[in-house]
Amino acid sequence: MLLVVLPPIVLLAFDISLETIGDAPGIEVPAAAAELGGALFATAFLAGLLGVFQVVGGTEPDRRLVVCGYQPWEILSARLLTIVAASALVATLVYATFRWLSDITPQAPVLVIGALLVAAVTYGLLGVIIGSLIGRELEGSLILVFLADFDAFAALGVIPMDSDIIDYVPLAHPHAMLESAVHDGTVATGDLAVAGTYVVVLAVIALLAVRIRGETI
Amino acid sequence: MTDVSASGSLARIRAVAMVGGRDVYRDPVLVGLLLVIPAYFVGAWGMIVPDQEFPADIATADGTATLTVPFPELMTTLIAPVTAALLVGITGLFIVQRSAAVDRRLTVTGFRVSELLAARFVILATITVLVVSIVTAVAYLHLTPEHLSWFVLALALAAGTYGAVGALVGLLVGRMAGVYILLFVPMLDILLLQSPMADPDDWIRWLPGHHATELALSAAFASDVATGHVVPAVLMLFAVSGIAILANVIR
Repeated sequence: MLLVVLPPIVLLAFDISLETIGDAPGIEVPAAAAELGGALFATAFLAGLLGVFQVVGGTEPDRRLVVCGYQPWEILSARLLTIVAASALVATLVYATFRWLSDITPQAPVLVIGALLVAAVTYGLLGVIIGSLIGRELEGSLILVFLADFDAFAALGVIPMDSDIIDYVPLAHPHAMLESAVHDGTVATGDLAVAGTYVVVLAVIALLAVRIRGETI
Repeated sequence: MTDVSASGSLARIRAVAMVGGRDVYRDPVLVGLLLVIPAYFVGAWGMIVPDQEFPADIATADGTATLTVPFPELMTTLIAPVTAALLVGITGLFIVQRSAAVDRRLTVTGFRVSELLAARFVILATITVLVVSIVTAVAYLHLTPEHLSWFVLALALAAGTYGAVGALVGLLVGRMAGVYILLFVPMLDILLLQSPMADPDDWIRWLPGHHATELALSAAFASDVATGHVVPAVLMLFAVSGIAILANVIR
């Protein structure tokens, strides 16, 4: 229940926080940046944590499933389906909250929810990888939290940065997709291609991680 | 009789704290993360922000002054308490969650709730000292605080306060929801809402990180530290800890 209630609260918190810092000299907060950033991070990081907790919490059942003859990719697919289903619900709620908070009417609502889902799947896969390789909730959570917090502020662009690294953080391209879906009603092919590549590469790594875990548990 | 009871109580606190501490230091991944994460997080932010100067409202002994400060140093001053708060907060959440079942059994065997709370406090305080030491060392790569001891105290207060917040959150919600809350709260509180470049509203003064962040900024940049933030920051720590203890006793 909390996982349905919390994401809209996160979006609201981003809205209030960025309204405060948006007046600072040298800091530019574009229109609807707070709501867009809040929507993206609320959805993506929930999926990431779901990935970590699903994999770590599912160690015992997964072990029995492997013994029963299930393949690692089947287990990974089931976990991902759960994450995607939960993310779709959260993305819809977050989108509704965005519409309520923001004066901007998204040009392409389906693409907006699609961009949120791409972000969620990216972080869901990252969560699965971290959960598989680390195998512990506390340690997995710490890694995900510090990756996510760095990603959030790098992608958001409200803190001046002087590095190309911000173009390569996992949410950089889903964030660009979300912005163009809201403002222009389109998604740039380049952003979609890079975000898609991220998902495919992370899915392969997640499969390998689940396979390694299946062999070691 | 009282001395015997007191020494017995101390022995029980020591036993629980030792066992809990062993759980931490026998976990090489956790110890490694407590060492590596501050290096990555504080170190990275100090490197990727532009080497420019920005005006910032810094608390001094004579009131708030607008000082022009290098942005990497300013970011390091803000990121250091965020890092300490996140690490200790999330660890506090897990300590409470993991110890719930064990503590229930220990209570049945005669341990008092106060003894168990004291033991958990010792573990969290030790982790706070470790985290603050590492964060301070890494922060030194980008920042030489004007007043190191006050800066360290500010980090400890931010970390301790969020450790108590983490313990409270751990008592109220599940692990995943708790981590999700802690993922955002210290970052929004300390990094954005307490930013000395912004013009904050009055309600921001009541957030857990306000006084500790003001003290950290003052210790880093002011020639005379605004020590007036120490007592409110300590009171905030006690208030949040008190609420967490009360919630634990009720549970």
